[in-house]
Amino acid sequence: MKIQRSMGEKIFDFFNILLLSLFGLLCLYPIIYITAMSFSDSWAILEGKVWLYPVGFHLDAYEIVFSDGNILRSYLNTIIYTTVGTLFNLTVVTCAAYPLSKKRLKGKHFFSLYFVFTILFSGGLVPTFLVVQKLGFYNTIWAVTVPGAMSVFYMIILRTNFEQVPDALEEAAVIDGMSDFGIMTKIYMPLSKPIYAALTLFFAIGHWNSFFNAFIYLQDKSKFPLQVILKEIVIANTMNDLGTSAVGSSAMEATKLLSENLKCATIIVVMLPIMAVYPFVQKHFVKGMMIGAVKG
Amino acid sequence: MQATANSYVEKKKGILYFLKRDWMLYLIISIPIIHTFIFKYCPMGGIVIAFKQFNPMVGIFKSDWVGVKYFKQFLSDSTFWNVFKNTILLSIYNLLWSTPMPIFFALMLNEVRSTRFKKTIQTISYLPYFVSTVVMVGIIFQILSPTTGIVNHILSLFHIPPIMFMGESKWFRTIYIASGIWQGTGYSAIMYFAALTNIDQELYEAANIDGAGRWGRMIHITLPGIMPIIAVMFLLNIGNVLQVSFEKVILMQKPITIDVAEVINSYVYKRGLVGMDYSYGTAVGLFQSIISFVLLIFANKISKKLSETSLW
Amino acid sequence: MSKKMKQLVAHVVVVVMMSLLLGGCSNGKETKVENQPSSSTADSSSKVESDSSETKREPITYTLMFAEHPSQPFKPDTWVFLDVIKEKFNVNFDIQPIPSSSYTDKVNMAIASNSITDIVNSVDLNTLNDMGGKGMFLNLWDYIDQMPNAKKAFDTIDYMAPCKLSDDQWYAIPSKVPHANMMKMSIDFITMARGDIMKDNGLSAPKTFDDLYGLLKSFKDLSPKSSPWVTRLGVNNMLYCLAPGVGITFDTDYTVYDFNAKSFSSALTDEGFRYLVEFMNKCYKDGLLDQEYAISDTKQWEDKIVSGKGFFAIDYFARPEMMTNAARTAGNNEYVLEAMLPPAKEGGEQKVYAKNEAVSYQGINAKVKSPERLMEVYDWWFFSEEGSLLGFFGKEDVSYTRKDKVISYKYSEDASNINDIASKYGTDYYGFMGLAPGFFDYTINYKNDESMSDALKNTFAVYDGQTVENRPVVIYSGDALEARKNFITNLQPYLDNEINKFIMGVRPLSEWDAFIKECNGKEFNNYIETKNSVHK
Repeated sequence: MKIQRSMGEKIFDFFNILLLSLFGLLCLYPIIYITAMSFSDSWAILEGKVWLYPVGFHLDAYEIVFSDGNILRSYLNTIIYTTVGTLFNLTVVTCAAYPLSKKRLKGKHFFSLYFVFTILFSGGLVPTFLVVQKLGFYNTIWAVTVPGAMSVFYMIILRTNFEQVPDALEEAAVIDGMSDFGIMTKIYMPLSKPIYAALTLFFAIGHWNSFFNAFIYLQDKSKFPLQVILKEIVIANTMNDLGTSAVGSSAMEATKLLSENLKCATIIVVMLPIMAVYPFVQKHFVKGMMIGAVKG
Repeated sequence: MQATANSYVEKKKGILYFLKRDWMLYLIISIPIIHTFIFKYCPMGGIVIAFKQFNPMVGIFKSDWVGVKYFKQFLSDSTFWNVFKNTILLSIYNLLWSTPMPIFFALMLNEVRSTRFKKTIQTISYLPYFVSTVVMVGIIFQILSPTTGIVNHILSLFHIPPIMFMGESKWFRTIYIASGIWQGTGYSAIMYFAALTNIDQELYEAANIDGAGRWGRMIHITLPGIMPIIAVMFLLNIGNVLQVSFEKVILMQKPITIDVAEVINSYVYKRGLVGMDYSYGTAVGLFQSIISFVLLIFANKISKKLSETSLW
Repeated sequence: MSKKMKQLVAHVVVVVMMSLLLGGCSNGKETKVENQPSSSTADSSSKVESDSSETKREPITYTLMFAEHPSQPFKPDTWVFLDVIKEKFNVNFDIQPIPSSSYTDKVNMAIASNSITDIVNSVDLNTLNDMGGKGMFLNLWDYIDQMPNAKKAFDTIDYMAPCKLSDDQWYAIPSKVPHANMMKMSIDFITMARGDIMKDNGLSAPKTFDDLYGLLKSFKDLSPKSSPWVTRLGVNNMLYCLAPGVGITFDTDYTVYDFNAKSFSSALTDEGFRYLVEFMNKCYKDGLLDQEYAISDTKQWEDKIVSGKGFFAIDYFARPEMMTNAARTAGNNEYVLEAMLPPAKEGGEQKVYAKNEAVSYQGINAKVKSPERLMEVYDWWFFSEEGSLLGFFGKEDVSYTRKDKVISYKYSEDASNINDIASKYGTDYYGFMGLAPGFFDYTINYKNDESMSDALKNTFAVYDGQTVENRPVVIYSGDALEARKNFITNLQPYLDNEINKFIMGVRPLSEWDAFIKECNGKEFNNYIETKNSVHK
């Protein structure tokens, strides 16, 4: 049933597409701009010539960023924190989601409430800090990986997913003499591969991007993750963290590089892995959100 | 068969029976339970330091009780009330501006015929959501820089002198909210897309037969169709009105913008943790938690009534 | 099969992670236990000490957190004090550099959570005394009999008295103490301008505020797009650098000391203060003061001052030389950033603010192992002439040479100026230098030092003997400390902010009196009263 489009509708469509395109561009533009800045010559930046593409292309800023000990070490730290943190996330969330997906579990409602209540009410920053410190986690990897291991939101998503697995599979396994742990790891988890892929990505991105815990709990610079180092460089402006002495870098700026180059290059370097996995993430993203939306 | 027989028996069995039968499930769930107990419930217990004069040398339990001293102290403190006001204002402006955006976006995108265009724009739209707060604030600083930023370069074309966006209190909220819209619109719109696809297609066909135009369909079918989810999202945000993102605020504020940029979360951090006023910080935090809790419960009640969906 | 393998691997990983996690917990506890019995180790270590004449003492390592400043990043390979102390005492330092931008936060968090390192650098004196009294920091007075140099310092130097909380309580080791003979140690902020441009255009160093205005105006005429006065400091720092010129002296807390009445009063109510604000407001309005002065950071400031986008600044003592060198390295061989005395109006004098107390203090963890050995190190490092020389100048014949009591820097290829020397050898660093009574007799040979840059020589020459009179130091404790904390976290940012508003014209100057009333509403008066009562 094809309907002739009226003039009004055509105008509407035109503006609709135009506005949406503009919005799309706006979403991308800041990233493009920063990329362009990172490759550009200092005079071009000062004159305001850079707005879309690099002017006076050079890679000097990246050379400095990639040869900087602090950044490289923090990159490694972030990779470690992300890996370990994601493993904890998956373990803890699975251990909560699986039993809660079983109707026969006595106390299921109490447990659900037990977890959900933590979304509604929290002890606050100071007491949480004291607990983490008392455990001896302060200034260790555990402070950035363990306290946030449980996520009620993703737990609900996973539980919903487990609930959709037919009971018959479990019954058959019970007859085969499998334990609950065996059923969880050998039947339910493999069947939920897609959701695990999505969760892994979300958790990993969360750890990669996380700033708060490291900011609060880590004090030793050699343990800082990328985001904290980035904050030091870009926002607190301690450019000398980039391995150049104050004097040396000033000299450099007068020629080709400006602190702006370095900041932009650092931003890009920090963002790069996220941009690289984005195509995979976005596939799972909507799906994951939808499952959450049903219940969450 | 077995299942029904079991459930019949279950009613008569005591707790020990279930512990024995499902011991492994309990063992598995004990990991998250212990974790949550340590990292969520222990801090709740730690709230007692709000009523004590906390001395780190002797610990929580041995510190002296001081009753509601710290509550009195902050409730009579003009700095606190300024911070409180900042938090509420920032949240409310944010709510008013950033709630409609994803709805418009979802509705507009819904009207697009080309699936390819739709998909592309949608994919791009939630890219900013994956940019970390630090990166985003870093980008903001670059774009708004008075000397090298693109915005001031454009302004200078119109002979407008450079504006120090990050150094003037009056710009703080605008930047905070605008960047929030940039980052969150695509993401929040996903909920509405989901709701849109759930609208019964027959309704549209019926409307077509009745001769309703596109506008009419949008007003009479689409909008009511996603109304419940709009209400739920809005209420959820109201419940979080005191929870302004600590990270973003602490990264965006400069000493000179502190008069509007200080919010409860950052104040608790500065006064409580960094200023070593633990008990004071906890007291303020507790005040915030309680208000948030009440608001959320309230929001959920209304939400249940409106749309028969509970937030949890 | 492969699936099973994968699951197996997954199991193993989970189990390992969990056990690691538990291991992490128990480790944390063990170390605590280890630290606790300080009294018992005291005995054993004194035994060790008595043995030391026969055998080399056991090596011992102390953890230390310190504020790493971007201009002087920690270089374990070239910093000299580490080796010297290891050689002399067989004591190692396990150093945790923490970015100075977040250092105070981290120290306070470590203190508040009772998880400090053995040595904590750069701690607020009041915090040290407060927490020391509660038992977190070692009472150094218990070891005073083993510290002959420190004892001598208490007898001979004025600056030591405020370090003590009471007759038998001493928690704070002062570092980098100001002294007239060591002007580099006592002067904070100075005024400076582009000497080369002034010379080319026949401009002279300003003597009055009108002169300064004229100078800025001339700079502006020469480069209309620029804002001549650029800064990276907060408004408070600039104001107190200029304040002697209007006849008042104050620092971060905006209080002026009256030597006759022996009491503090508000700087804000002084006519001179208002004059300064008006002056800065005029400069701001006319585009002479950088429009983004209030948010400029170090890097932006350096960019501007080197690249000719700014010509006048208030900054640290070492900056004229530093920026001159930077600009010359960048190819501008004519560039001179010249130190000059701050301007004065009638009733004021062209003097410069000088610090009246130690720049920073450090505390020792009360649970530290073998405190005697550490105190032995400190008595030498911070209170002997030799140790002070090590802290301030480094190693003889490596980073400096001396003739009697006159020091000359020893420059090298990669350390060709005073700042590079400090950076390379880790000298002249807040936390790592003490004071010996005799140390103040030393002088830096700036007049005949051929390697010393003209910029630095000039800075020394201009400021020689131009510091203001010392004001008494006030030590807070108990309720007064609460008031002081409140001032720092609430009132001070408020004052800075409002003053900025007046300078930027956001608030009209006609509201100045209303502002002063507001301050009192915010308990500024109470703070001053508290300060006065503590002082008495």
